[in-house]
Amino acid sequence: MFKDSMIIFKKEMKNIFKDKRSFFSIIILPFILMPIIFGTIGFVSNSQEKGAQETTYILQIKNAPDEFKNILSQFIKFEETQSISEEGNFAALEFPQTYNTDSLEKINVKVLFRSTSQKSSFALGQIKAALNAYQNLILQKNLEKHDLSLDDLKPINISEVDIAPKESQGTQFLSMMVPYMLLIYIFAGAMGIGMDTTSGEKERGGLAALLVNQVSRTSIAIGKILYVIVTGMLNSVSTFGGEELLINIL
Amino acid sequence: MIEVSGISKKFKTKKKVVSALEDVSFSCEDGKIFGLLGPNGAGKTTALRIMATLLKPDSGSVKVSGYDTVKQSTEVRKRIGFLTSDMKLSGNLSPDELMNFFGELNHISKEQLGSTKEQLVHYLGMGDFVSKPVEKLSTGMKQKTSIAVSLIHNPQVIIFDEPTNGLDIISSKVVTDFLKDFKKQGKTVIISTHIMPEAEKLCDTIGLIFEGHLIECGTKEELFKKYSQDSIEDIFFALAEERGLIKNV
Repeated sequence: MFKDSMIIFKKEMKNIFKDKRSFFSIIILPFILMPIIFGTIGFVSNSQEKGAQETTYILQIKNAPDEFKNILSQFIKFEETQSISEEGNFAALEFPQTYNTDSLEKINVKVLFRSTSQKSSFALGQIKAALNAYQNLILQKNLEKHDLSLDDLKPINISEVDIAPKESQGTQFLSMMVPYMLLIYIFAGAMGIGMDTTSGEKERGGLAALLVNQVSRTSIAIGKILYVIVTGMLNSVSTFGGEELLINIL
Repeated sequence: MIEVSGISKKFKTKKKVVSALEDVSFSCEDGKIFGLLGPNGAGKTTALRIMATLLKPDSGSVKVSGYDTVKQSTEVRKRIGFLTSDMKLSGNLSPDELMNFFGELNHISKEQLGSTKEQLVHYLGMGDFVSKPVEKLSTGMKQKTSIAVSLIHNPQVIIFDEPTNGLDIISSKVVTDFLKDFKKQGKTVIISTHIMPEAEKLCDTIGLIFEGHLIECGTKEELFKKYSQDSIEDIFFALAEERGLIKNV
């Protein structure tokens, strides 16, 4: 029975390797396509991030101290405006009219941003980072009055030592992701091939030719399953090869 | 020898049950050609597919050289060569590679496969294209390849469903000449067709099938005498008109 399955498997494989289009779409295309797709995604996301960093933001700032504005200028380029703007690179922040940084009272700062705008969202992130830095500054000043520093609030100092071999450090995420990615690639690669060799062959009228021969249905099924598995794996290996190539280029 | 005894077959669709064959019986001896004639949807292909073990009848039985197509399907498959007009060879394998593939599947020894291939290539005039990919062949060349593939294991019974469908006149002649030769070799040939003159020239016995019922079955002479007609085509149209299948003839 297995001998018959191997005959069917070999015939299907031969057909793939003799057909330039099939060979290209199963073996070559994923190798080329993956670096192109992920390279393009990386390029677009990098250029968007760079664009967001270089943009001058229009900010409406109310009641903020100059000290905070100086800190904010270290995070983003901005120009102040008096009115709410419809522009994508707009955000607003409002300190209370009166507040005292020397007291333990909380200072409620309201930040307005537009979640539908990537630049406005980026501005929100930078404003929050600047507010954190300003918060640390206030804390530092208040602690100094009691001869303390920020470090004194952290009695434990943790130092992490990675004892894994240098070459395998940082591969934990990859080792976790590889089985999932492999499964996805095998399924994606094998789906079309599986459909073609079963229902596709039936539609083309080739399955009847096979079924009237002295070969069991089980042998036909095993041969075709084997063919789908092997081509699916070849496809995923090619996809991984393409990704490896992209990582090496980058 | 093939014996069809009272086979019936129904197909269920979502809306209704379609009766494709109703109590069909006939037989064909070795060295004879049996032609199953009927309009589209009459049940010809279903009958042939049951004979070729591709379908199981709901009732009745088919015996090929004494073997039951349901209970002894493997033995039946050793003895039949099946070809249908729906069966289209495709892909990049050459006729030679396809013959090797089907030969291996039928467990033919290399020596026997080599000599059978040589005979078929010579007989069907496949020498010029035997190494070319099937995809690049003409309809006639593909049909010749299909014939070669279905005969690679030297079957005793040939079941051909509309073997000349889509072929030009020269390619059709190659097929009909081949069927005649097969008959001379003492083998059993069952064909289905709706080309009446072809059936009249080729077949020893003719079965006329309409809407799943075998209306008539006999030699040409018997049918001519019974209907006082001198062509199968006229008998066919008379029967079709009787059943309301033809209007304003």
